[in-house]
Amino acid sequence: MTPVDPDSLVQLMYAAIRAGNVGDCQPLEGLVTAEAYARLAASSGRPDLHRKLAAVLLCRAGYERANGNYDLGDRAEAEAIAYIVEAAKGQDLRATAALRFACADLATELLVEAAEIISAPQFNQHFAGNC
Amino acid sequence: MSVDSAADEQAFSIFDQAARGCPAALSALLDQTLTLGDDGTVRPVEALACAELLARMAASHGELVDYRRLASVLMMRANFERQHGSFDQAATLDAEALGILDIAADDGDEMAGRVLAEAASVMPAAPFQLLRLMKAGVYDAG
Repeated sequence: MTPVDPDSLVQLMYAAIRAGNVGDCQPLEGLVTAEAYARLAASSGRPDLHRKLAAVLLCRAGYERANGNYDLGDRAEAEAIAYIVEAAKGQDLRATAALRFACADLATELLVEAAEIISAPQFNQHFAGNC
Repeated sequence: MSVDSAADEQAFSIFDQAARGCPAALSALLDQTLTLGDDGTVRPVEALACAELLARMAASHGELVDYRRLASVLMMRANFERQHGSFDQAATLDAEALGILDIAADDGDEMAGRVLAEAASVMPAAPFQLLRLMKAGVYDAG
């Protein structure tokens, strides 16, 4: 089995986002592909990759809301916050800054949902195993 | 959203293995993705885009069965695009699937050869023309 290099996955993530932006594929297709690459990369446990996954999820949240899917948008945003918290816990300074903005701007319900995701045992075990 | 069931724990575990490049885990995730698309849990375009990515990663290990799987996902994707009026994209995806099967058939995969022969009778001509251009190196994807 050839190990996967997380940085290569990040490059593929950027390529997918670019493809969606310039119209090489549908925007949703680009976002879904980017999200999948970001999730695989974030599995390495690196805080900067958690932050990048959060960024893709926030893009996805914006897309879903722009298309009237508010529930999907809220869910993606709550998950993004959970990953930003993980990144901040891993001493990622950009994530810490992003978290400050998020706490000031986001609806309380979203922060509560993010807190629920973070406090779930599987979420903690998953990251404890990887970091 | 809660993540507190054994199924979620197993999903995390499969995902971790897939992220480390395990072909079997990538294949299992691919199955799950297609199931989620079939039962309407996620939108078809989401399921197919994700399935294509997973199939490409699995196929990158070079196993014949994963090549076939990638060709099949590309054809599913092509059907979806055709149903939604994206005939050019459908032809490109079909052409890539045929190209993969063609390589597999050249390597002695009889099943790929049979599928190719069958495709010739049911598929439109455009993918075959594109495949010829791809093989000749004159196809411009842009």
